[in-house]
Amino acid sequence: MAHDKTDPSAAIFPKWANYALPLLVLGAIGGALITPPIVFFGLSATTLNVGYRPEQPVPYSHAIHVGQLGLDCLHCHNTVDQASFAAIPPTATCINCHAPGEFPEGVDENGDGAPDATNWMGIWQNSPKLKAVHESFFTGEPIEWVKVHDLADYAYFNHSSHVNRGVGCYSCHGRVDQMGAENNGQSVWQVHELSMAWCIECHRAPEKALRPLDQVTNMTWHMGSEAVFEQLKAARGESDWTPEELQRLRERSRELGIPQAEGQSVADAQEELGRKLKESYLIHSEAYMQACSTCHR
Amino acid sequence: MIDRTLEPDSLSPEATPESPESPESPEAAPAALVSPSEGAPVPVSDAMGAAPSSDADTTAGRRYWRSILHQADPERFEKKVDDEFSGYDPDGLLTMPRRQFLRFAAASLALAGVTLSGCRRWPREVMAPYANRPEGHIPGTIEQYASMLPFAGFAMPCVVEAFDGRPIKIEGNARHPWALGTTNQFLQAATLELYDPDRLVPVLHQGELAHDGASHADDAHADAHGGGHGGHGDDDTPSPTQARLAGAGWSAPAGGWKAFDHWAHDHFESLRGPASRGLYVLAEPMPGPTAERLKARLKERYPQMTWAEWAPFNRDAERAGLADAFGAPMRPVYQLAEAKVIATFDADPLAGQPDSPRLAKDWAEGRRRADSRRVDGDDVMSRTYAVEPSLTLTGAKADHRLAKPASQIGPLVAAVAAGVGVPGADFQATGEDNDKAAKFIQALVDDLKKAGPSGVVIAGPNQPAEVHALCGAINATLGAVGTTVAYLPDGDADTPGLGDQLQSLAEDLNAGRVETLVLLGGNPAFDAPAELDLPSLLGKAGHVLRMSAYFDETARLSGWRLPMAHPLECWGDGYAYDGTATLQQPLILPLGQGRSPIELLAQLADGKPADGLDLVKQTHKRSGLPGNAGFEKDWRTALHEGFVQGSSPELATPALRSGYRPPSPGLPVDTDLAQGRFEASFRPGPLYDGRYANNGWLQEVPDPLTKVSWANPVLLAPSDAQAMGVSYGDFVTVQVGSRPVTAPAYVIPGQAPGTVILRPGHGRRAAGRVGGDDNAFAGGEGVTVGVDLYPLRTRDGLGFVEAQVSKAGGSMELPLTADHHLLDKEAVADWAVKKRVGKQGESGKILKEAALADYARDTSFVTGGLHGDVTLQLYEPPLKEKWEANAKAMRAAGHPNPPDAFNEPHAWGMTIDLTTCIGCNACVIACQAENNIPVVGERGVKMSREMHWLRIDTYYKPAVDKESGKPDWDDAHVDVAHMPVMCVHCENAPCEQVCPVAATVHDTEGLNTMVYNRCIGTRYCSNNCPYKVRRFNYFDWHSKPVHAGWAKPWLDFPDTQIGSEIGPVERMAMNPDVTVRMRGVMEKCTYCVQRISRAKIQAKNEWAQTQHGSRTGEGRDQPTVRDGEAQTACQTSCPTGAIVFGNLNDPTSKVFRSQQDNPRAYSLLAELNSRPRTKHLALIRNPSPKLSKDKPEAAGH
Repeated sequence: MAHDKTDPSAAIFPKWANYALPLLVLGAIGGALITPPIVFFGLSATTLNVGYRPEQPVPYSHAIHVGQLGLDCLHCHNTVDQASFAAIPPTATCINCHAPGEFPEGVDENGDGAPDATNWMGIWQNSPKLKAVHESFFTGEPIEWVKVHDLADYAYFNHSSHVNRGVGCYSCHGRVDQMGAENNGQSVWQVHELSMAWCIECHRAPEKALRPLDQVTNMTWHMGSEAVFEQLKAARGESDWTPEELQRLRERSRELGIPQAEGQSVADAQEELGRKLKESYLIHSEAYMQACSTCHR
Repeated sequence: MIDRTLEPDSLSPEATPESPESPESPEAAPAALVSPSEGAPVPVSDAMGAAPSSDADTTAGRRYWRSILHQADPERFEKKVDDEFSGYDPDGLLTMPRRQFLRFAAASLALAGVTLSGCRRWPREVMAPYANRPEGHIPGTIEQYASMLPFAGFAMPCVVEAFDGRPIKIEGNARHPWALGTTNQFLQAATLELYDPDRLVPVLHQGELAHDGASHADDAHADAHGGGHGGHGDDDTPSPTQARLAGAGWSAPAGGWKAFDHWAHDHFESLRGPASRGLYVLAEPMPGPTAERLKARLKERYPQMTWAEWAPFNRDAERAGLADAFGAPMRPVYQLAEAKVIATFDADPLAGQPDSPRLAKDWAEGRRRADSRRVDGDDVMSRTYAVEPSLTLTGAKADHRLAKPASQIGPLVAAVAAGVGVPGADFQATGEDNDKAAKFIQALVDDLKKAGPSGVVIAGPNQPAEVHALCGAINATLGAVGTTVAYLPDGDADTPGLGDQLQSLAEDLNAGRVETLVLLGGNPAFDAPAELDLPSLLGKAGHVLRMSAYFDETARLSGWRLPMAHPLECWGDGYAYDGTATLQQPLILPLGQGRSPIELLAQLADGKPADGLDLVKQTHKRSGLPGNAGFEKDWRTALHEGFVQGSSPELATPALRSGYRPPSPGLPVDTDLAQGRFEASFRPGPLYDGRYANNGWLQEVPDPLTKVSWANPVLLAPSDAQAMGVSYGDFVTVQVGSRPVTAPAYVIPGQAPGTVILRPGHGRRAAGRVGGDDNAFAGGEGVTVGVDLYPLRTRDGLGFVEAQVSKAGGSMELPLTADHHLLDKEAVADWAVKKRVGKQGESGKILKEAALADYARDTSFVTGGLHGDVTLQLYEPPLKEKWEANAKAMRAAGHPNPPDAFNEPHAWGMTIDLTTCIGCNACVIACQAENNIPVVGERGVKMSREMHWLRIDTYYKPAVDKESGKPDWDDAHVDVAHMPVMCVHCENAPCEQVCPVAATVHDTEGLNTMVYNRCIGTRYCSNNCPYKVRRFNYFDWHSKPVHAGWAKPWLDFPDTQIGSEIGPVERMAMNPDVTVRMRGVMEKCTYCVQRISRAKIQAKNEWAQTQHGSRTGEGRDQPTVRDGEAQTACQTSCPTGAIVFGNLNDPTSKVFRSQQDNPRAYSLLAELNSRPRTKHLALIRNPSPKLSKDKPEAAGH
């Protein structure tokens, strides 16, 4: 250093730099406090995945087909009880009801300049919403649906082993019967986070989700218990349910032998039945259900 | 790894019970081969252990070694045990420069940032369902179709497993009357070949093409750049060589096949009638009903044409010899199951032949009779004799072996013929060590005579016709024809041998008589006899059409190169070894432009392209199918089964031709070590004749005898090697005639002095990116794998030939796996025993074996070595009470000995029978195919990084010189043992106790599971595994080019492939049910957990559906897996059935019975109390009482 030590001009840092250190310390403390919540909540599976609702090539509405028309899930996803993968229905399944009214452009055998009519029976034969379906039918090219529920490749989820053990579609997919098609074909959305922690929760206590085998595809079964019903009634008001629906629910829950003790909570009612079902389905022990090889290979 | 500082004494030689008896003098033994060592020979095991009844072998000190290298320098091997991770220097961090350290630290942080990107929504994925799903097809499930794969001119029946339309695994066809569910390693590797991007070269034409002006010069140009990054198939452009092709005048016609169709239509039209004289076809033998029908049609259309066939490893001698003995060409069909005495002469019936899988299966039946523990009677174990120049897998399993040069085997066969009373045979064995050979022959003759119809002799393809005739005569004289061997008429007596056919074609080529030459399959420019010089003769043909799977050596010399579809891509048929018409159905559309050979034949005959399915159906419509449901239905039945029921011709039992006189055996090759004169024998190598060169699985799997991968060294006898001063990897020059070839040498125990074994097939110049390509690709130099030995093969020396052998100077490091993954007995097992039992304790043997007679008397050799309380638990398992309750319930239900831990609800276990394991490698490849195991390349293997979950350890036990007490590697009587070792799924698993992140833990059924996603790659588990069965992913091997250099361009990271992906075609070969492991994680055998899960889920679903009443079809009363429903890949691929897997909770299961009822069952390294779920069954040999006493004398020759 060429400068004299006593020369004030030798100071390298300006005076305000004296405040820098406390500021830095404050910033560090603040950062230390704010970063974990950001990482923990901001990057959690719930934040990232729940509510994912991609645009689909066809504005298909489960709300109409399942909710209003009452189609069973198995009508289209018919391999769900036989394979790991719940197959997306082939175009041919759609065509069963929605046969196109016209042959594709270019087929003009009667020479009137417009595509020929098929004379097939079909619902919404000429709807532009079904254009992609009809195209796929004529070309044989698949409709490329966007995957909504996407697990990590090293997790080997098997639909058939759950569906054959009384785990309802609802448990993972939620009220699909209420998922309509909106905004350019956004249809199904992800209801649960489908993370390992979420899976394990149920594998630790499957009784919380088990239901009779014939109720697996029932979207409203989880409300079937009298207790559940009472609570829902209180919470949502009677007007949400038609008298027929109420009656049906009541009868159904009696038929199923769902516990209906006075004042029993939703969770308790489900668990009581779940434990019985768990026994009759020979669901394995907690250790087996959580063994790595159960889901990973 | 056990900390050795705790017990410094335990490892010193003084404390080792097996310390050397006498000091070693370097010059007295072949130990001097490598580097003479003063160190103690530390045995892997000794055979009989403490068994009181064991024979003289124990006192003579015979030991098992991994190789000659092991015995010569045991210290080096022991260091290998310590140095488990080759090239890893834990102290390297301390000496690293500060800046380098900071660089690594920064890069690690950056990578951590990259991994944080995992915390986001997955990338958008689409699902493409069928537009119209085929009936009965369930997406996402495995489907099986019966088909076949051609091998060595025969149909190999198989069942192909397909996942969503992608064939991913080959299994045996259990219903096929010949195959009975057996496969070999070549079949198992077929899926890799199917998805080999190098195969997908389009239709190419060399020179100007009249019809097609527009060539794909642009494509070729694009490829020149695309090839720059050299990824193994990471680009869509199929050919690695197209840029060079364009330069060499090759072009891909715009219309592909259409251009050829157009040209062929006109060209072949002009060949009708007398012009057909100029038409020649050279095909590899691929007989089948359709091919033969089309061949006849071709001859009809072109009456003057010539059809020739060539295969480098063929059965010419056998055909000719049996024609001499029986009056017509014959093919022997051996039936070894009932055979009591089997003698092979230079033959390897258990491996490498098209009939091998079935023969191995039958042979194993006879060996399994050891468990009757009888030395006489109907159910006595079979005895095998082998006379051969060098070890074969059959010789390795033989009870008695005589090493003789191939040319000296004829006289011995004649002596056997004389001994068993073949009329007119009166030959006596002569020779320098007459005594030893005579004793051997005498014992063999006595046994054969005693066995009579249950004896059989087998001659190998290298032996001349006379030897085959003699063997036929011996079998006929024994009365064996009809019991242990039957014969099938094999073609016309007038049809010349393949060698003659090729020779006359070569003459016609030379004379310029060949106008149009169609080269169908095979690779004659590479593997034809050298003196014919076929490559240059091909230039003399007018037009050369070449149909081949790869753009190979022959294709490069042709005018048209037509892509041949893979057998899994096209329709066809063939004959199985027993003549059964076997159908080939495609499981996938051709990935490239391939067409099938039968389609090409039909096109040549008719002038227009044909449809393979039509051709095959027409054939069978004409010949008729069994059944009476109408052709379509019968056809579907046949297709479903994979073969035409009852189509195998009647097996003949010919009598010896009247007037047959045994020929006098030819003169032996006069070998002379001093003058470097050797006898060279040719054998198919690990790549068969070279056709599988571009198959990384087959390249990398260590040869079961040499344990060498990615190379084909020349095999030398130990004494010759010592005399020449040649060691492993030293170059030797082998010269036949005027053609020398320099290749690395390998010294193999038990080879006859004066012989050299050549296994051609390597050294390909146009195989592809894996198997070798002499042209530059990947922006670098060409790649050669191994040495081309075909230049040494001549028309007269296809089997064996005189050769000059000399040391060439220089050497290379062979990719030798004999010293990889060494069982840690010395360090760990002895230590454990000493800790527990004290200094006097002796650990058990790794390999347990006994002679049949000893086994019949006493089974204590299996448990004899064990001391102490080995059931002591290290810790209380967490679910002990639950499992004890399970075991109690099982006991109450009549289970004699249920597993007392990890038994909920199944308890998986495995048994490996060392008596029937022949070391054929089928299981290794099957495991690789099933479990997405990567190929690491030659360089990786040299660093001990091969990833095979299942390895086959080979041990050699040489005879011991009585005077010096030294192993005599030269002697024929070397015992060989193959021991498959994969994760044994210890109940007390040492790996689990050291994993810091619980990435390897047990499940409730006894599987030691490996959680890839948790693994952080400390490798502690592998270090602590006494069985050395864990494999670490140093790289993303799948996406790494096999031969790429490991450059360090970025921050000196030894890897350039961050973010690279597996190629789109190769990716299709992956089993979707098994995670593809990323680098940095450990992996190992999972007992095929994906197959277990599949079986469990199916069982439970069926049970639930039965309970619920929704099940159609057969109901199910238990939710547990039945025996045989869950089978591992190694189990289903094993031709001998040596591997049994199943549920130990089931008292009726095969695996429980084999572990419980079989006295041979033992746990590997049981003294560690690791409680393996896999047990091995001890090796039983059946030596003749007449010869076994001679062994010590024989050793001192």
